[in-house]
Amino acid sequence: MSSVKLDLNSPALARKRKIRNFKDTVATHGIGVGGISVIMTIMLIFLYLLYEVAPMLQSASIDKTAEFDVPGLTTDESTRTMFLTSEEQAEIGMRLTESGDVIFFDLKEGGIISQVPLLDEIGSKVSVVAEGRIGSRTLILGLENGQALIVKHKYVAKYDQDANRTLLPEIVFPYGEEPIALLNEPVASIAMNENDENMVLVASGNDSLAQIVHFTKEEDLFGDGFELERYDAPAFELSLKADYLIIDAEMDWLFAANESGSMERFSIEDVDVVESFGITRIIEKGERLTQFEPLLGGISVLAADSSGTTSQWFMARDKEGTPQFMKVRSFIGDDEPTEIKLIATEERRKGFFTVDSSGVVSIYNTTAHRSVLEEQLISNPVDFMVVAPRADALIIESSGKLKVWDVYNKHPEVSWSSLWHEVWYENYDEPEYIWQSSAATNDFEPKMSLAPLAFGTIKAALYAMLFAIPLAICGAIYTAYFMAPEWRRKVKPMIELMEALPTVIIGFLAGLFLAPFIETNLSGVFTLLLVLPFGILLFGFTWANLPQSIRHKVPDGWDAVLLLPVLLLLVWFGLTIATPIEQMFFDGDMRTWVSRDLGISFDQRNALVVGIAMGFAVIPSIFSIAEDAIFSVPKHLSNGSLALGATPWQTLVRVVIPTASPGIFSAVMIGMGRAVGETMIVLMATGNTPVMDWNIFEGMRTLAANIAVEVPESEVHSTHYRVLFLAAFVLFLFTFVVNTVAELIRQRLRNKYGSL
Amino acid sequence: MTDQTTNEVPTHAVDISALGRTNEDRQLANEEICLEVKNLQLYYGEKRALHGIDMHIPKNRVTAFIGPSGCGKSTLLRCFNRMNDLVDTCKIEGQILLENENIYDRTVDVTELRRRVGMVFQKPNPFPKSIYENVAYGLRIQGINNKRTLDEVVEQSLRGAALWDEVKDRLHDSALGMSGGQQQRLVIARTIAVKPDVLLLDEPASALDPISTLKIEELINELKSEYTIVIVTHNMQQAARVSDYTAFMYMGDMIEFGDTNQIFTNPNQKQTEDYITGRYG
Repeated sequence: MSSVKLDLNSPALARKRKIRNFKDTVATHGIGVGGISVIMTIMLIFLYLLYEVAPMLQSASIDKTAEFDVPGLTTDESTRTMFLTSEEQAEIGMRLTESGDVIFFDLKEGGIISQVPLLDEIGSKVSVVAEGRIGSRTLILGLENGQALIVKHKYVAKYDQDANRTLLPEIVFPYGEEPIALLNEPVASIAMNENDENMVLVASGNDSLAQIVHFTKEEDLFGDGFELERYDAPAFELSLKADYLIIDAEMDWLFAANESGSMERFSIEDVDVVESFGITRIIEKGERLTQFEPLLGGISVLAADSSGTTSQWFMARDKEGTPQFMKVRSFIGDDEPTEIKLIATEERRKGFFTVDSSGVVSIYNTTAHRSVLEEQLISNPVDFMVVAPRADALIIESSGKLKVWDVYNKHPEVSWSSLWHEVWYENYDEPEYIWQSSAATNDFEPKMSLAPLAFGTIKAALYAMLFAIPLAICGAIYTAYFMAPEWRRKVKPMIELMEALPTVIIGFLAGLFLAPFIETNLSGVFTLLLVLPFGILLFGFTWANLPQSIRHKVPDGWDAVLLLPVLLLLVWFGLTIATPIEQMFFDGDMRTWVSRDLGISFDQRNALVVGIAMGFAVIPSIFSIAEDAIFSVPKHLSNGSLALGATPWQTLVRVVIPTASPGIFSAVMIGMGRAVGETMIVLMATGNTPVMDWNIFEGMRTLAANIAVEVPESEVHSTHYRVLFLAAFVLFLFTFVVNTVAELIRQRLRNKYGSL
Repeated sequence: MTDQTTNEVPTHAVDISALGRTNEDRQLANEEICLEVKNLQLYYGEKRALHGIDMHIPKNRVTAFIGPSGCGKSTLLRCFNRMNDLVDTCKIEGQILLENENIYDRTVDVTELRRRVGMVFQKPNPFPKSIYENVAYGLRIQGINNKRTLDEVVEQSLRGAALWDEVKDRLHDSALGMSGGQQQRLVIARTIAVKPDVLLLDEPASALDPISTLKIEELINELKSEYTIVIVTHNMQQAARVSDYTAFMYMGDMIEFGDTNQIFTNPNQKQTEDYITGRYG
C-alpha cells in the first residue's frame, strides 16, 4: 500500500506559510490601526469641541497702542475736557471742551481732524455733560446760563478713486440748534432719555429744584425728520441736592443721587405729577458715592464708591410685589481696592470698566458677575476714561496726555456661575435659571444658563426610560424565556426592525398626532394607564386558574396570542369609560381640571408625549440586548434550578435574571445613552421651552435639541456660538460619563456572574 | 487482511473480584422497591425513544444504567423527575410509580417531585452565586430563610458531599472559582440539601479528571445508605465499581437488568455480553 508522500517542508508550502504569516501580521496591524483611529477620531471630536470652547475661558488682555498730548489742550482752563468719546472703529476720538468746542482727532497720532465751536453764538460755557441713551451718540450739554443743548456726533465714510476710505466727522442737532432754556442758574446735573416718540429731560441747579421737560416727536408728512412739541412740566422739589441724575429706559423712573450715597427715586411716568418714592442708601455708611452711571439697556444703574466697590442696582418686585430699587450684585477689585474714580460702560454688552485712584483698570461683566481683567495701567490721576463702542479700545486722559489701548475681551458674558448657577437677570424679581440666547433688541441681557438644558435632557431621558424599561425588559424576558421558539424567531427581528424607523418620523407623529390626541383624550390616556396593566394581570390570573383541559388547547408559548384580543378590548373599554369618568370626577374636562383645580400648567407638547415617543424609540435597543442576554443564559443553569424543585418563576428571578444582569444593565444604559442624545423626537415633541420643572404636563428643551435649533442662527465665533459648543461638550461628557460608569458596573457584574 | 486471532472474546471484560466486590449475588425480589416503571413509552415527536420499559429500582441501592450512546438511558433517567417535560416535543405513555404513586398523575406537583427526586447533570452547573448560596438555594426556594437552619443544613450537606473541609473557610466565595470536581460535589451537596429520596446522576464524572472521579465514586458509596441512587454512566468499570444493580439498555429497550455481579460476570443476554466485553458501544 503506497502512502501519500507528504513533505511539509517543501518550498511551495514554506512560501504559503510565509504568506500566511504575512496576512496574519497585516491583519493584526490593520485591526490595531482601525481601533486606534476610532479612539483618535473620538479624541479629535473632543479636542475640536474644546478648541471652540477654550476662548471663552481666556481672560481679557490689553495692549497700549498710542500716547499723545491731548489735542487742543492749552493752559487755558476753558480748553479742558468735559467729555471724551470715540467713533465706532476707534479711529477718531472726540473731545468736548468747557468752552463748547468739539475737537475730532486721530486716535493713532493725536492730529486734529476738525474743530466745531458749538457755543460761540450762545456765549456760555459747558457746565455739565450727560450721554443720552447708550450707543445713540447723543450728548446733552448743560450750560452755565441755565440752558441745554443736545448734539449728536456722526461719521460719514467717503471713498476716493482708489477706494481709500476717509471718515468725515460732523455734528448734528437732533432737537434743533436753538438751546433749550431750563433754569435760571448754571446747570449742575442733567439727564435725558428718549425713544421713538418721546424724550424726557431733567435738569437741576445748585438748589434742590428740578426742571422736567417732555418732548413729543412727531414724524412730519414727508418723512424727512420730525416735528418736536415741547412741554414744560412744573418743576418739582428734590429732597437732596442731586449730583447725579439718571432716567431709566422706559422713562418711568428718575434716580437722583448725591455724593453721600443717598438716592431718591421719582416716578416720572406722568411728568405733571412727579412723585417721590423715598430715599435709598446705595453705598455703605462712611463711604462716598463717586460714580452713578446707567448700564447698557437703561435698566440697571451702577454705583461706585470710595471704598472701591461698584454695585449694580435695578427695579424689581419684592416678596410683597411692590417695585423696589434693589442691589443685585457688587464688584470689588482683588488686591487693595481704592476709590473708584471713573466708570465707562460698554455699548454692546452688559460690561463696564472702572479705574481707581491708584490707576488700576478693571473690566467687569454684570451677568457673569466676573472680573475679566485687573491691571495697573497708569500712575497719574485719571481725568477721563472712555471705551470704544465695540469695546475693543480704551482711551484714558491723564495729566494732559491721551493714552490708547487695544482691548481683547471677546467673551466676558460667560462664567461658571452664569452657566450653572441661578443668575439675577435684569427685569427679574429673583435669581433664576434661564436660557434665552437672543431677543429682538440688541441691548438685552443674554441668559445662557446650561442648567435648564441639562435638566431638560435628564427629564426627557428619565420619562422615556420610565416608559421603555418596563416594557422592553418584560418583553425581553417573555420572548427569551417563555415564548414558543417559532414565535420568538418572528417577534425578535420585528421589534429590532422598529429601531430602523427614522426618529424624525416618530417625532413628527408624536408632535402632530400623539400630542393633540393626548390633549383631547387626557382622561382616556390615564384610564388606559390603569386599565391596561390591571386588565392584563387579571386575564393572566384567570387564564392560569382555568382547567387544564382548556389551557392545553393552546400550545406552550402561544398564550401571548390570546392577549391580543384582550388588549384591543381593554383599549376600547378604557376609552369608553373615560368620558363618564371625566364627567363624574373632572367636570367634563380633565385637561382644564388639571390646570385649574390642581394648578398644574399643561402644555400640549409635554414630557408625557416625549416619554411615550422617545420610549418607543429606545425600546428596540433595550429589548434586543436584554433579550440576547437572557436567552444566552446557559440552559444547564435553569435546568439545575428546575431540577431542585424551583418553579419557572423562581428560576427566572433567582438564576436567569441575575446571570443576565450585566447584559440587561448594558441594555438599559445603551437605551439611556440614546435617550440623552436623541434630537429629532425632542425637537418636534417637546415644545422646546427651557423650563425647569418635573411636571409631566410641561415640556422641556434638551441640550441636543437646543444645539440643533440654535446653531444655524448663531453668529460664528460669538459667545452664543461658543456656548452652544460648550453645550455639545457637556452632552459629550454626559454620555461619556454615563457609559464609563455603566461599563465599570457591567464589568463588576460580569466578574460576579460571568465565566460560566 | 486483519488478523482474526486477536478477535477472541475474553470471558470477563471487567474483573469483578479485582474491584473488591463480594461475590454474593443480590436478589431483586428481596429488595424494597423505590421506583417502579410500567410499560414506559417515550416519543420525541414521531420518533419513539423508549419502547415500553418495565423495571423496579430498589431502595437505598445504587442502580446503574449502561449502554451505548443514544440507547435512551439518559432519557429514562430524566423521566424520573419529569425533566423531559421541558422538551416541547416529548410525549410519554405508561407509568412511573414513586413509592406507589404515579408521578405522571395530573395531581402531582412537579416542583415537589423534583425536590424529592434530585438530579445531578453531566456538566457541573453551580449557580453564579457563593458556595453557601448554592447549597442554600433549594431551601430558599422552599421558603426557608432562617439563618440558623440554613447554616446547619449547608454544613451538613457539604459534609455529606465530602466538601466541607475543603470549602469551610471560603463559603462566601463564588462557586465558579472551584475546580470541576469540587463543583460537581457542590452540586451533589446542593441536591441533598433539600432531602430528596432519590438521586439521579447523569454521567456525573464524565467531565472530570480521574482523581475527582474517584472522589465522586467514594461519595456515591457513602450516600447510598440514605438515598436511592440511579446513575447513568458510559464507563463500565465505574458501573461495576459503584452499583449494586445494573441495567443494560440498547436502542430504547431494556435488554437486561439484574445484580451487577451477575450482569458483569454471567449475563443472560448475548447483547449484554457483547457490550460489556467491548464488541460495540
